[in-house]
Amino acid sequence: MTPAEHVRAIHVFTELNPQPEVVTFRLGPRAGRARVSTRIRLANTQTVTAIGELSDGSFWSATAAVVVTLAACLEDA
Amino acid sequence: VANALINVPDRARRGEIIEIKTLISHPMETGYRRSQLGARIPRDIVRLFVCTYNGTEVFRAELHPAIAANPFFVFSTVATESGTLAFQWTGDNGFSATETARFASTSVRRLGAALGALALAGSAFAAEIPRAERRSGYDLMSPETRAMQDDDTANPGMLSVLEGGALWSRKARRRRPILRGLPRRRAREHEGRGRAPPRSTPPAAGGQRRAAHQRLSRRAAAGAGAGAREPGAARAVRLRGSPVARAAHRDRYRRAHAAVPRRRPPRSDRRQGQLNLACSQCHDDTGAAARRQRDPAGASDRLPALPPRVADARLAPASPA
Repeated sequence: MTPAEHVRAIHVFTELNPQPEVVTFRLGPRAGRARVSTRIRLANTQTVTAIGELSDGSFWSATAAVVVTLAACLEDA
Repeated sequence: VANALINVPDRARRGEIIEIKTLISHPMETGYRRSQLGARIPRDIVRLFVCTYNGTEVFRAELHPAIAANPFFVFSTVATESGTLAFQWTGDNGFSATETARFASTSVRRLGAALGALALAGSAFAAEIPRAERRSGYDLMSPETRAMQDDDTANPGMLSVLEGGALWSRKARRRRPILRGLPRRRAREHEGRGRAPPRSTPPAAGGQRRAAHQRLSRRAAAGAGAGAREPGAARAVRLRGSPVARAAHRDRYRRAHAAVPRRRPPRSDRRQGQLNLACSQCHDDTGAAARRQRDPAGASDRLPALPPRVADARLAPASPA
C-alpha cells in the first residue's frame, strides 16, 4: 500500500439478494492494509463476489460460496 | 440518538498499522420488508460512513440495504501522527452521527494488547443441523462467534448495555403532588401557592344552565342536599354552586393538600434507579434495621452511627495489650 501502488476500493456483490450491491469500501495508501470486515445480510444460499480496484486501474475478483441455513435477526417475526 | 462503540488503540508506533473497529446502533431497514398489514416498510439505512484522521479521509464505506443492522466495520490505517480520528455516519431520514477518538502516535513500544484480528467469514459449507442436535452456549460457539462476544466493540449487545447505562443514570422525573378531586389544570394553578380552593361561581350567562343552578342551590339549601340525589339535575350542573357540593369540594381539597407535605425518607431507604430499589433493601449497613427497631413508623430520618466496616478495622489502632 504505497501512493504509487495501492487498493483504491473493494466492492462486494451478491447473486440472489433483492439488490446485488452490498457495500463499497474506499481505501487509499493510508489504509496500510487492504482488509476490512463487516456483517451482511444474505437472502439465500449463494455466491458472494468481491472486486478489488487497484491504483493501476486493474480489477481483481474473488468469490465465496455461502450456505444460509436459518433466518436470523428477525426481531418481530 | 444513536449509540456508537469505537475501538482505537490508545497509542502506536509511528508507521504502524492500527486496526479500528466501529459499531453503531441503527435498524438498517431494507425497504423490502412488509408490516403485518401488508404495507411496505420504507427504507431507512445508513448510506455512508467516513473516517478522517486529523481532517484527512482515510476510509469510506458506501452502504446498501444488505448491510446488517447495527453496522459494524473493521478497517486499518497507518499511524502517522498523534491526533483525532473522526467518524461520521449519514443516512436516510436525515440520520447523522459523529464520534471522535484521540490517538497518540509514539516512538516508544506500543502499550496495550494487540487486537486480535477478527475473521467473520465463517465456514463456507455449514450443513443443516438437525433440530434435535442444535445446541447453544459459549462453550459450543465457533472461535469467530466467541471472539465477537469477547470483544465489546464487535458485540451488538453492548449497544443495549449503553442504553441501559444511560437509562440508569438519567434523573427521574419529579412527581407533582396529585390533588384528587380537582381538574388537572386547576391543580397546576394552585399547586404550592397556598391559595384558597377554587370556588365555583354560578354560570354567568342566562338560560337553562343558570336556571338549573339556581333551582338546585335553593333545593340544597332548603332540604339537606336533597338536590344532590337528583340524578338528572346533578349531571346537568354538577352541583357546583350548592353549599353541600362546596363543602365536599373544600373537604377533598384539604385532604389532598394534607397528604402532600410528606417527609422524604432517608437516602438509603429511598427507592431509586431503573429497578426502583432502595439501598437498604439489600444492604444491612445503612442503618435501616436500627432505624426500624427504634422507630417502627419510620418517622425519624437521622442516621445512627454506622458500625465499623471490616476494611476500617485494619486501620484502627491496636488495642493496648
